[in-house]
Amino acid sequence: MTGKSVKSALLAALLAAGASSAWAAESSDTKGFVVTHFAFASYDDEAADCPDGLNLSAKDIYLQSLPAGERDRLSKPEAQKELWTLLYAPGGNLGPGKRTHNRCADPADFESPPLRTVQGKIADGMDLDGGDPANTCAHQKFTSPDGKSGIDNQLWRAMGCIRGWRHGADIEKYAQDNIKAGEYTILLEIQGLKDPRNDAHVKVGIYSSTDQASVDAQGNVLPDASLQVHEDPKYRTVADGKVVDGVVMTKPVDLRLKYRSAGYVDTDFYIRGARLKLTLKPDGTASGMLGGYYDVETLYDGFIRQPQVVTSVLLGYSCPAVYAALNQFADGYPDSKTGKCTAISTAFRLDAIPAFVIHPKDEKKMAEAGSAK
Amino acid sequence: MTTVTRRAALKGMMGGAAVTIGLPFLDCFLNGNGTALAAGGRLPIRFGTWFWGCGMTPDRFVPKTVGAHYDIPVELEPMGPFKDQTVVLTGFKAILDGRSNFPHTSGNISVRTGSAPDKPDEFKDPTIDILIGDVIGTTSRFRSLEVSATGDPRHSYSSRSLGARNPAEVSPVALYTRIFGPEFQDPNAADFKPDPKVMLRKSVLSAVAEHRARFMRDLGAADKARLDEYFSSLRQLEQQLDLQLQKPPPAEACVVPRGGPKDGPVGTEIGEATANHALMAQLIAMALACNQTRVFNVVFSDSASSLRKEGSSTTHHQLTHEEQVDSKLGYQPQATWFVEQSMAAWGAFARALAAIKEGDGTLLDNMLVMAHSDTQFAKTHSVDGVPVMLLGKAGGKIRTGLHIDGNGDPISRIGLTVQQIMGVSVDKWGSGSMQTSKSISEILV
Amino acid sequence: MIRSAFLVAVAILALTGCDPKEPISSGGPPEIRRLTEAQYRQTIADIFGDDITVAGRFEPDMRVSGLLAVGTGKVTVTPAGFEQYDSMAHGIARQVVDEKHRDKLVGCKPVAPNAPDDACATAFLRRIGLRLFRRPLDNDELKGDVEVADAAARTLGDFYAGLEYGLAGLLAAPEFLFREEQTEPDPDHPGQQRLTAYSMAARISFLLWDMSPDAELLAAAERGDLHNPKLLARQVDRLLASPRLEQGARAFFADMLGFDAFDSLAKDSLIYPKFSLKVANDAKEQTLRTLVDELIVRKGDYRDIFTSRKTFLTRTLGMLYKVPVQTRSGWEPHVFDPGDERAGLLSEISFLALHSHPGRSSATLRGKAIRELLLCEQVPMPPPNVNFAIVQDTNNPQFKTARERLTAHRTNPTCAGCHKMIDPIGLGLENFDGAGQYRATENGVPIDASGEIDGIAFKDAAGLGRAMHDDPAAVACLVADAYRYATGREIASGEKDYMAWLRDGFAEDGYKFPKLLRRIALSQDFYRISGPAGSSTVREAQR
Repeated sequence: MTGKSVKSALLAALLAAGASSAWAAESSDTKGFVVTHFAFASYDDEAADCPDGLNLSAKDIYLQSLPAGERDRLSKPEAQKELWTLLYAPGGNLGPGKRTHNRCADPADFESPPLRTVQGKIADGMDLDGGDPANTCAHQKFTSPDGKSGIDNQLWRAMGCIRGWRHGADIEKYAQDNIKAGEYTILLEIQGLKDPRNDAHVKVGIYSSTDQASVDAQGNVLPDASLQVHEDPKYRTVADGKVVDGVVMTKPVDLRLKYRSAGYVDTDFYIRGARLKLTLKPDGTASGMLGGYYDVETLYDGFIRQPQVVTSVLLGYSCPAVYAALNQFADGYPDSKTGKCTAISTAFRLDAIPAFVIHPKDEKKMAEAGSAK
Repeated sequence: MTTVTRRAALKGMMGGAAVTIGLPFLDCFLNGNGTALAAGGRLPIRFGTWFWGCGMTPDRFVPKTVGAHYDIPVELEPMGPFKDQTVVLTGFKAILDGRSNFPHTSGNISVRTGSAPDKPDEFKDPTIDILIGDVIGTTSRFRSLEVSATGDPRHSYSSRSLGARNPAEVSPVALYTRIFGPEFQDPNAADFKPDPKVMLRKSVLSAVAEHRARFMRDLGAADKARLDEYFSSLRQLEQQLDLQLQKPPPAEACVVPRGGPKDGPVGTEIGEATANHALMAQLIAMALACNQTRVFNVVFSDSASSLRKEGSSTTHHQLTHEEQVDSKLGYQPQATWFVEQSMAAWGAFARALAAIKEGDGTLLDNMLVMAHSDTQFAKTHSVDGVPVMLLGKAGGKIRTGLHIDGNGDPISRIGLTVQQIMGVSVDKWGSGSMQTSKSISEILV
Repeated sequence: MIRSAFLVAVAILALTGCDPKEPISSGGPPEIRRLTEAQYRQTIADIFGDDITVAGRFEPDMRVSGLLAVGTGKVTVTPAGFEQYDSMAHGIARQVVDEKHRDKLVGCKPVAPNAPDDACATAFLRRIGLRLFRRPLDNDELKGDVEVADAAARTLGDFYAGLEYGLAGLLAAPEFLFREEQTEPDPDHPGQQRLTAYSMAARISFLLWDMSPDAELLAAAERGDLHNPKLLARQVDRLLASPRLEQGARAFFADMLGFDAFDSLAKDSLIYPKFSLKVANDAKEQTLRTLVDELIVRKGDYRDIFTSRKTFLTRTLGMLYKVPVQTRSGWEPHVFDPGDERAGLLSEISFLALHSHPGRSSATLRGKAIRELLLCEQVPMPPPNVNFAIVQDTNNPQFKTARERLTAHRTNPTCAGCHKMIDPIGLGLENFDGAGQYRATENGVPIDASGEIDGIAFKDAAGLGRAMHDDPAAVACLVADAYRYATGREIASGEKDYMAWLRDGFAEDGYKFPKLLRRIALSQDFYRISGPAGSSTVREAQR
C-alpha cells in the first residue's frame, strides 16, 4: 500500500469509527496530550521476584534487633508513640528546613542489612543500551513480559521487593492521585506530524505544566483542556523523533519533569538519555513508555530523603539499604573521574488523552532551550 | 407502631451531631391524659402537604380491599407501619369540564384548589394549605413553611393567587438558619428577655404600614389584590416580631438541633433529592414540635418529576412515556423504580414525624398530612384517580385506617373534607363539575 | 377651518417634537412592577457603593407573555419574601451607617453622636428617599421614618444606630420594592394621560440600565426636562452612551432567552463529565458577552447574531468546544473557522444545553425554544390523554438517532400537526449533544442535520442560522419583546400601527439594537397612558 492510500484508508477508518476527538489538535499537524497515568514500569510475580520475602521496614528491622520482651512491648498499639520516637531518634523533622542527622537524610552514615532485591527474570521496561556496553556499567538484563530480551530496568531490580514500590502499590497510587489533584502535570506534543501512521521526521515536546489538569466529578482527567507549558525552560524538552506504524519514537535526550506530592515531595524526574515510545490510538488517546536513566542522587533525594523515615516505615524499607542498592545497581552515565555510574535505568508506563498544549507568546526563548543534549 | 423515646430521637437528629436537651417538660403541665396543657390549651393541630410527581402504577398501588383493614400493595409498602393512621383515597377524578388536561399541572392544581386551570401551571385560586393556614396559622411565627427537594424555589405549589406563590426553601442549611438561627426563641428556655431591638424593628414596619392608604388609592382590582398581599406579608412579619417579644409557651417535644446540616449539592439527581428531603423532613418535624409553624408544604419531586439517576440519559418523566412495559413484569421497570423511591421518601417523612413524641403519642396524633401526586398513571397523564393519602389523627378529628374508593367522584371532595377536619368553615368547595358540598363522611368523626 | 385645525395640529406636533412619522396610538395601562433581584442589587450598588453586601434570598420572578419583565407586573411579595426583604433592608442600612461608610454616605453629622438629630436624619432620608422611591418624598412620608430614627436613636443612645432603622423603613417600603407608575393629564393631547416626569425617568433608566434613575436623571425630571423632546433626547443619549447600557442589554437578553432556567439546569455528570456549574455560568456569560459585543460595542446588525462566528471563550468552555484557549483564567475573543459548525447563537452551549434534557439532546425542546423565544410564536401544549402506546414500536425499541426516535412525532396524525412545526427545526441542531458538544454520529450512525423552517430548507446548523437571519419573524419578535420588556405589559390593541412603525424603523436603522431602544425611549406612545375602558388603573400623581 502506498503512503497516500494508507492515509486515505486511515481517514476512512477514522470516519467510520466516528472518531470525533481524533483531530482535537489546533492545527492538523500538531497533536497535544496530557498524561493521565504515569507509573514506574514494574512487574507482578512476588514469588519469583522476592523469594526471600519483601523488605523489612525500618520499624521491623529495629524491633527485630531488640530482645523478645522489649520487642513485644513496643509492638503493642499503646506503645506506638514511644516506638516512633525511638525510630526517629536520632533525627527526623524539626520543622521547615530543619532536621537532625538521620538515617534517611544521611544514609551513608548508617548501617543496615542489605536491601532484598528482585530475583526474577521478567520485568517491564525498555532496552536502553541496545546491547552496547559503552557508557554503561555492567548489569543483568530482564526479559519483557511479552518475550523481548535486553530490558534495562535496574531501578525495578533495586526497589521491586519493597511493598510500597510494587505494581499497583503506594508509589504508583501517589503518582496517579497527584495528577488528578493537580500536583503535577505532564504534556506531550507531536509537532510536524504529516501522517499519523508513518512520518520520518517529527519533533516531540515533553513538558511539565503549572496548570492543573481538569477533572470531572468522579476525579477523572478530562480531555481537550488547554494547558500551558512550564514557564521554566528546564522543564521543557523537545526531542527529534519519527513515527513508524503509528508508534512515535524519539532520540535520547536529557529531560526534567516536575513531580510533587503535597507536603511531602517536591522534586524532578531527572532522566538522562530519555526516549519516548508512544502508540497513537484511533480514538485519539495515546499510551506507551518513557525510558531512560534516572539520576540517582535526584531520585534518592526526591523519593527517599524528602518523604523521611515515616515513609520508609509505611512503605517497608530501610533508607541506608536503598541508598546502597541504588548506587550498586546504577548502570548509566559513569562519573568521568570515578567511573561509577550516576544514573539508574528505568521506564515509565504512561497513558495520555488529547489536550491543547498552549505556548505563551514568548515562545522564542523556549525554542532555544531544551534541545537534545 | 412503636413510639420512639426522646433520647433515641435526639440521637437521630442531624446525623448524630450533638444536640442540647431543653428543660424536661414537667408532666404537671399536662392534664391527666397527657392530651392537653393543663392551663387549658389543646395541643395544636397541624396541617401539611407532601407532593410527589408522576403518580403511581395502579396495579401496584391501589389496595384491592376497600374500607378498613385494607391490604398494602407493593408501592405502598413504606407506608405499611403507618397503615392505621392513614387514609388512602383512590379513584377520585379531576374533572376538567372540557379544559385541556395540561400534563401534570391540571391534576396537581385540581387537587390543591378544587378547580381545573385554564392555562398550564396557573394557580389562580388559593391552595388548600393557604385556606387552612388562614384559620390555624395566624398566630405562629411562620404562617407556613415550604420546602422542595428539587432545588427550585418555584416548586412549592402553595399560592394565594397567581402572583403570590410562596417560595420554597431548597437548602437544608438555609432552612435551618431560618428556623433555628439567631432569631429562634426556644420555647423551653428557662429565662426570657425581650430584645429591645425587636421593638424597633416593629416600629419600622408600623411606619411602612402607614403607606398603605396612599399606595392603595385608585388601584385596579388586580393591583389592589397584589398590594394587599404585600401588606399582609408585612403584617405577618410584625406578628413574628410580636411573638419574639413574648415568652413562648413551653413545647414539650421541642429539642433545638444544635449546629445545622452541612452544605451539600442540591438538585434533581435522586441521591441528592433523597438526602436533602431527609434533612428537611427532620427540620420540619422539629419546627412543628417547637411551634414555629402549623402549616407546611413539602415537594419531594416536582410536577412531571424531573428526578433522574446518575448515568441515565432519561429522567423519571421521560421514562414514564418512553419506557416499554416489561412483558414479564407487567410494568415499566425504571419508571416504577422512581415511584418506589418517591414512596420510600414518603415513608421517611412519616417516620420523621412519628419520631417526635408529643403528649401520649407522637406528632402524628396532632396533625394531618395530605400527600398527593399530579397524575394517576403518568404514562397516560390520566387524572382519573390521582392518588391522595391522609396521614395523621388530626387530634382525633379524622377516622383513619381506611381505603376509600372515590368511584369517579370529583377529587375536590377530598379537599373539602380536609378543610372541614382542620376547622375551616366551608360547606362547598371547587368550581365547575368539581364544585362539591359532599364531604367524605366515612372519614369524618 | 379643517385646514387651520390641521395647521394647528402640525404646529402642536412640531412644538412637542412628535416624530411626524410615529403613528398616533393608544399607549397602555400603567404597571406596578416589583423590582427584580438584579435591579434591586444594581440600584443599591449605585446609591451606596459596590462594597455594600446584599445578603438574602429573592423570591422567584414569574414569566408572563414570555418575559419575566411582564411578570413583574403580576407578582407580589409573600410572607417569606417579605421576611427576606426586611432582613436585607436592615443588613444594608447597618452597613450604610457603620463607621466605615457613614462619613461618605450619610452626608451630614449629628449635633451629638449619642442622641437623635432630626435635621440630619431628615436631610439624609430625603436625599436617599428620592433615589429609592424614584421621586421626591413629601414631609408626611418622611415624618414616619424620621420618627422611627429618632425613637431608635433615643433607645439605643446612638444617632447612627437609630438612623439604621429609619433607612430600613425606606428599603422595605412598597414605593421602593414596586415601581409604581404615576400619571398626569397630557397637555399636548387633551383628554389623555401621560406618565409623570419621574415615572418617565424610571422607565428610561430600567430599560437602558436595568436600575433606578441616577441622580442626574432625577434632576432632569425635577426640572421638567423630560417633557421637552430635545432635553429628553439628551438624557436618553447620555444613558445610551454610558457603559451601563451593557448592563441593561444583558438584563434584556437574559430575560428574552430564558436564562433564569440556568438556576435549575442539571446535567448528568456521567454522561456529560465535562459539564459543571462553571460551564453553565461560563456558557451564559459567553452568550451575553457575545451579544453585547455584537450589538452594543460594535453596533452590529441584530440578524448577525444567528450567523456570526465571533465569540468569547474561557478555558473551561474551550474543553467543550474543543478549541485551544490561551488565556489562563478569564475571557478571550475567539473566531470559529469558516467551515466550522459553530456559527451564531443557536450553536452556543447556552442555547443547546438549556434546551435539552439532563442526559440527552432534544430536537423538540430546541425547536420549541426557537419558535417561542426567538420567533415569538406560541406552541400549543400536548393534547390531553395522549396515547403513547401508539408511539412504541415493539419491534424496534432501540432507535439509534433522535431523528429516528422522533419519527412518530412526524408521521402520526395526532402528533404531526404541532410537531412538524417544531421538530424539523430542532433536528438541525442534532450535531450538538445535550451539553452542546459537537458530534458527527449518534450510536455509530452519522447525524443528518437537515430540516426546514417556515419553508426555508437547510443542511446543517449553519444553514439554520442563515435561515433565522433571513426570517422576518425573528426581527419582529425582537421588536415586540423589547417593547413588552420596556413597558412590562402586553402590546395593546391600539398599538398595532406603532409596532409596525417600530419594526420599519428597526430595519431602516440597519437592525441596530441601541437604535431600537432609542426609538422606543423617544417615542410618544411609550409614555402615553390609557387603561382599559372604565378602569381605575390610571393613577394621578399628587404633585
